[in-house]
Amino acid sequence: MSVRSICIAALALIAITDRGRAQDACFQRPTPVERLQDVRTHRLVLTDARGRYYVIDGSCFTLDRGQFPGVLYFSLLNSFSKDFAVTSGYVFIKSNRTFSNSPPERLLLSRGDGWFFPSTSGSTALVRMNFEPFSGSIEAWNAAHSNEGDPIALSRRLEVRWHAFAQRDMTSPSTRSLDFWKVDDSFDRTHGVITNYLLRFDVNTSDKVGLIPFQVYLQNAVQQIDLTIYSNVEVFSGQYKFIIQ
Amino acid sequence: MAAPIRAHDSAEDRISKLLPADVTAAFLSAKAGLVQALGENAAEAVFWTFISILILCPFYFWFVTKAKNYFQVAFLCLTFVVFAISIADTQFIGYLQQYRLLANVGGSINVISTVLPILWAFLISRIFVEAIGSRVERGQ
Repeated sequence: MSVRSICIAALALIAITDRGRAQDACFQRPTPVERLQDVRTHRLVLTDARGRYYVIDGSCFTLDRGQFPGVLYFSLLNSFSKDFAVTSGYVFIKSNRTFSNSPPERLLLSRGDGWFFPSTSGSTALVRMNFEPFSGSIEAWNAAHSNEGDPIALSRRLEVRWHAFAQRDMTSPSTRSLDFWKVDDSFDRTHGVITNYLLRFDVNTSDKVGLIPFQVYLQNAVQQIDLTIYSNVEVFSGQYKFIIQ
Repeated sequence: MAAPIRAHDSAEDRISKLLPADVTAAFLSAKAGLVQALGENAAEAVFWTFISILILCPFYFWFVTKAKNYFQVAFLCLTFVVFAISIADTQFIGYLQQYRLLANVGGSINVISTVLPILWAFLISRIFVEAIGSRVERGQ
């Protein structure tokens, strides 16, 4: 075997092992795609400052702050076959951002359109909430979510009307999985900020790709984002980690 | 289409013979088919299709298009690389950034894929024709 062959083989070996180690170390970048129609097997996409789409096709990624400045524009791809069983869906999202400094808020609440709450006339559509700080403590939040209860009970315990029903007939409450909303013991109470989102959508069975957008703010001090998604449409559920550099 | 450069060729003819439309078209078709079939997972297949075509290029230019001059064949191969990066920049970024050393390759490929094809077709090819064209002719 010539020296040249040995060198080529060594380089190939380094390339292969480097790839394996790198994936363990969470350095992977999201995969760019030219069109959303090209996305087949994954559901979460990210849009960069130039409008290019990236597929979140793993569980741990490194993101370049220059490529995604200020805000991470995520979307869930809402595109299903005509015979898909579910027609109305909801998504619960919990984002845990770790900052290098200590921001004033610990817990923010966000809710999109299409959520309902009981009223004297039957039900009322709630207005959207955009990243409103929860005035209570993390302990109070967890205590409120420790016992079973519907959105009415939770709104009393939390003293904020955030939990709601995804259907006008008061079904599909956001309280159906209270453990999901509890703040984990591992939460960094000095550097962490949790943002909870409630999103509702109609399942899209048309030929066009529908999007369920949500945003995660990326201040300069944000170092890591842990994203947990739960939905009654199973393919949307997942856990992701993003290291910001 | 790639073909031997001859002494009586006009400047336009010479430049057109430095742009490998045939292999570029083949790669374009292959890329479209792979993306259609594999969606966001097509990056690796597209990249290795490019490498395969690149390996075949010298033989194709030499034996099929009869471009029997090393300079012209090398230039045609380089031209294919430039156009291929432009055609499949998204897939190349998707595949190469899996490697730790190339994790930040995206920005460079974006710039190359945008700027280099124009420079290559309108400037570098003309420089090549003027600088090396006569040597290519003598080699026929």
